[in-house]
Amino acid sequence: MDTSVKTKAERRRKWTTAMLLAPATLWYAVLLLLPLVTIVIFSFGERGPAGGYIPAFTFDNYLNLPTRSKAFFNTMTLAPLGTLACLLIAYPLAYYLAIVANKKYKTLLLVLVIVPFWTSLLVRTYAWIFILGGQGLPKLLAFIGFEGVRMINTPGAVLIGIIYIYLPLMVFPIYVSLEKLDTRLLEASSDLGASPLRTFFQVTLPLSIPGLATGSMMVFILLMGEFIIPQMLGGGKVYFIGNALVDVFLQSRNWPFGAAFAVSLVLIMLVTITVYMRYMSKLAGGRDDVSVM
Amino acid sequence: MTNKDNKSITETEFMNELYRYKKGSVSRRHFMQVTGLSTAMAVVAGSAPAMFAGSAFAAEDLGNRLNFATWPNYMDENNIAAFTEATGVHVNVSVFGSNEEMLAKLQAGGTGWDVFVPTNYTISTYADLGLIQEIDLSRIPNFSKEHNDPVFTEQGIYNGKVYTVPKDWGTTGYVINTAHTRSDMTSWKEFWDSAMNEYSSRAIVHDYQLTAIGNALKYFGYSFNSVDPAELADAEKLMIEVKPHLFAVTSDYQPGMRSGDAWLSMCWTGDAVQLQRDIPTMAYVLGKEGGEIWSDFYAIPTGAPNLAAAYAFLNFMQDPEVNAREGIAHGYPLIDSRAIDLLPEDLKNNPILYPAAELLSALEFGAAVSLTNPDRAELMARFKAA
Amino acid sequence: MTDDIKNGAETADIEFRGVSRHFGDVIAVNNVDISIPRGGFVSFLGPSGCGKTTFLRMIAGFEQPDSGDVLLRGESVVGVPAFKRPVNMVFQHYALFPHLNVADNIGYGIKQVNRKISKKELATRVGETLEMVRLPGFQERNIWEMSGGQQQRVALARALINRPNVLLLDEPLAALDRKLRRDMQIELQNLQREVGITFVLVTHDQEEALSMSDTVCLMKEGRIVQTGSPQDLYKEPLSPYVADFVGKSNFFKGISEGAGAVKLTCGRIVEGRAPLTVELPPKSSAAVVCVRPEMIHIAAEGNKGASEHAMYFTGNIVNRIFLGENTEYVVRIDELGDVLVMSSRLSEASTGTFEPNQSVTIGWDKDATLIFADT
Repeated sequence: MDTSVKTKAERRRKWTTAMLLAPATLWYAVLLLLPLVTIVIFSFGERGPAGGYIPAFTFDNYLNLPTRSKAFFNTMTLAPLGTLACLLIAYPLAYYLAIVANKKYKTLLLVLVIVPFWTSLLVRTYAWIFILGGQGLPKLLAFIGFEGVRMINTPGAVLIGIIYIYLPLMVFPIYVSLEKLDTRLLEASSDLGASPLRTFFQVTLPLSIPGLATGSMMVFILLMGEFIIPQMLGGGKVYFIGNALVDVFLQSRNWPFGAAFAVSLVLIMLVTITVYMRYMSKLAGGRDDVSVM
Repeated sequence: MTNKDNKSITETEFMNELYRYKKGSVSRRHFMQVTGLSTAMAVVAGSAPAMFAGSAFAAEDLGNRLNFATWPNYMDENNIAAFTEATGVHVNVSVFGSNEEMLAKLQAGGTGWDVFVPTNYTISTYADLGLIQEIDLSRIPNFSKEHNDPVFTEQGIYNGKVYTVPKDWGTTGYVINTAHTRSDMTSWKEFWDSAMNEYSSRAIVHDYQLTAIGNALKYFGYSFNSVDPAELADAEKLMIEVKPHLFAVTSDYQPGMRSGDAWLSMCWTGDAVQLQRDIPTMAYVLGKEGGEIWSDFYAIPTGAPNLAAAYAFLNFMQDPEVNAREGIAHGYPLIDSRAIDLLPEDLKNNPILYPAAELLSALEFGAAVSLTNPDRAELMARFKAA
Repeated sequence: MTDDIKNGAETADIEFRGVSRHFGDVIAVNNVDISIPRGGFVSFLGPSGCGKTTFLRMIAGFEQPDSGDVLLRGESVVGVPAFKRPVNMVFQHYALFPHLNVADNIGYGIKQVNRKISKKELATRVGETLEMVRLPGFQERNIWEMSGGQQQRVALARALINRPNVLLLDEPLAALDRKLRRDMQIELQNLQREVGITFVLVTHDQEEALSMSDTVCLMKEGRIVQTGSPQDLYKEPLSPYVADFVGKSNFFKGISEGAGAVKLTCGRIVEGRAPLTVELPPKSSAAVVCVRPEMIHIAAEGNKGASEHAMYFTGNIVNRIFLGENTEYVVRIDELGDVLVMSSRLSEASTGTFEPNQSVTIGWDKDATLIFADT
């Protein structure tokens, strides 16, 4: 009697849980799994005569990937480099906002970080075309004696664009993790004999790793699929996987090859992120109470 | 368009102003293509109902709405307003960046478009897929067959059926900034050779398969539309060789040319006109080996919801005065000689717009197969990834 | 005026000379002079906002004085940052490093001062210190796996491992439950005797201050109002403020009659004495009479006992709070208002317990009556 009541309540609880999870499950199934499965299937197919997809089973699409090794190389160097550059610039900025800045101006400063998001990414990137073009910074450099500096359509220009566009994405998670940092921990470290620099590396930095990891992941993942910045500031000469995907899907209409591209991109990301997370959680002191993402 | 009431600017007005502002620097094919975005913008046409209906439109009920899909910066807003004034039909304008995008939309269905603007080499594809309808020229009394050059109008006729009415045309050559380059360049061979030698890191090649490959084929004297594997292999070899010497591979070449970073670039007529107007040292070269000539048309999709309004619109646009105003607004050469006669002298006599006949005779219209050929698409992708 | 605790300044671990510290318009520490001798257990007691924490933070080096001088073992440390001072602190809520385990938390201090220490020596020192705080074998534990009491011990071990001259404790027991707090009070006292260094405790809890320290400094609005042994503070408060803050007190207002007598507002005259170092208020000036609740005898009305005292009143019990070892009564007296009376279980053995609304007689002796000037 008692047990049947218990199981009934339990069953009802399970049913409630299932109902509450249903929308999320459906969401994942429809929006994540289904396209993923489709792409994997497509990647083994063949291109139709007028583009599109014809069912087949071939590894040709994967074997053809090395012809685009430049895209992989560019993405795999500039995405980590861009992430690192964002990190190195964002950290001091976030540190200033969270710990140093006067509380009165904090909100204003935070808003200023977001302000660029209020205009279209396109318009902002266009501005950089002019800034980095011959009539922009290089002209200024020529004026102070550095002649013939080429900026636009170089990997450096793409890097600048990446830093400019992605910086806020890095600043905010780091800001949040530094903001909730208990300043008494810093005092404790100082009290125990650690100089401010050592305190930073032994306490502040490890404790801000969750934010740092989140920011880096967001920037890195988005950069792996980036195509507008290299297109606009790289002049089609700095070619990312994202650009290859756009070309293969939209110009060549070679869906199976594009699918193979997408699958390999997903695999690269999975491996990179797994390795990264492992490393980060180790740095964070192996705490299981701290989510690294 | 002006803000007559002196009220605060609306979002739509702002968008229009933005496009206007960009007009000098963004090529029509490029902007949307690059971004993959398409922004639909409704034109706030004169909102007062027509005080009197024009005699040509009095006969039938046109409805009050027309959906028009075209390229950015490709019409005179005043003409649209005048059309609404005359007919009471409001025009919703959608803007697109590529023929591929228009095709994809129509294939997907449900666009609700009444009139759109395809380029010559897509007409047969649309017709084969049953996406556009035959035009009843009798419903367009303003259209005059004898005043429109058959070189262009024939591109809109497929299997003997008329699918389009002509809009304008243009060429694909290259622009050089003679402040930096020699001014006696005349061929595609010189373009490619100089790009990897004396003008290394100064040349721009289109990020558009049809023209980039087509003009490379011209280096060897092959057809602009070749799909022959051996000829394409030659073109690819040339393109890959030149690639490291290029300033950029982009269809948005005006900023690079204007900043002085680039000295020569593949170029469409309208961009050449704009560049030369602002920087007189810019010169437009049509390769003597040939190259591309193209034309854009008005066409009516199958199942257009406002067919009567669509015909009224096409007829309105074929009016020589309206057409001439269009030509002044978008800067491309017109087809209807009655409209050309009404153009200002400087436009009429501009050799960029209306080149010498012997240069034109070498040019080829892009073929439908050139656009859809998978080998060419792959070649282009390899070139870009090189 | 310098509050010299016990001996002279030469053996002082900490010395404050005319130290003030302001935060905007708020004066946190106001011209404090004090000398704390080596090896004692000193508490700074006061309500929140009295400046005691700022005082502690100036010793640690987290705050610098606006004026005056702070000396540690005779040397001025004004401008010396916290990480260069030979003092360590146990923080309120412990401030343990959440990303480090117990051993790394405790070893943190050694690694800062001796970067080349061998792993073996480090492990030995950490192990010894853990033994000292009675947490042997807890090295690999994570901080969040520990109870509040255990975290407290880790914080102590972390602060002690560098063998500081002075250990500062900022409300160290505030987060512990009552039973644990009692145990830790005893342990802290033992620990202090064991390591023999100066402990400076800051607390708002008078019981904590009284039970652990040799010397208590009671603070009010940035100043030290009385320094002395816990017994002194309790038995000989120098002002009603001290009497009120340290232990519980009943206060009755009146006018001084001179010669140790005060005429209460009800007209009754009570006799008493002034605290040892304080003068009686002059005749006809406003005075306050203070009586500790445990010094008041309570008996059922009509029973002898209470009425044998020099002062006695009759009233009704309005409230009773059973505290275990004691019972607290609130007795409403017509002449005095509500009077708090504490009755021990021992005395209850003879008087019995009282019920609310019961009529009782309360009384106290002259010796239990302290007279202050009413300022």
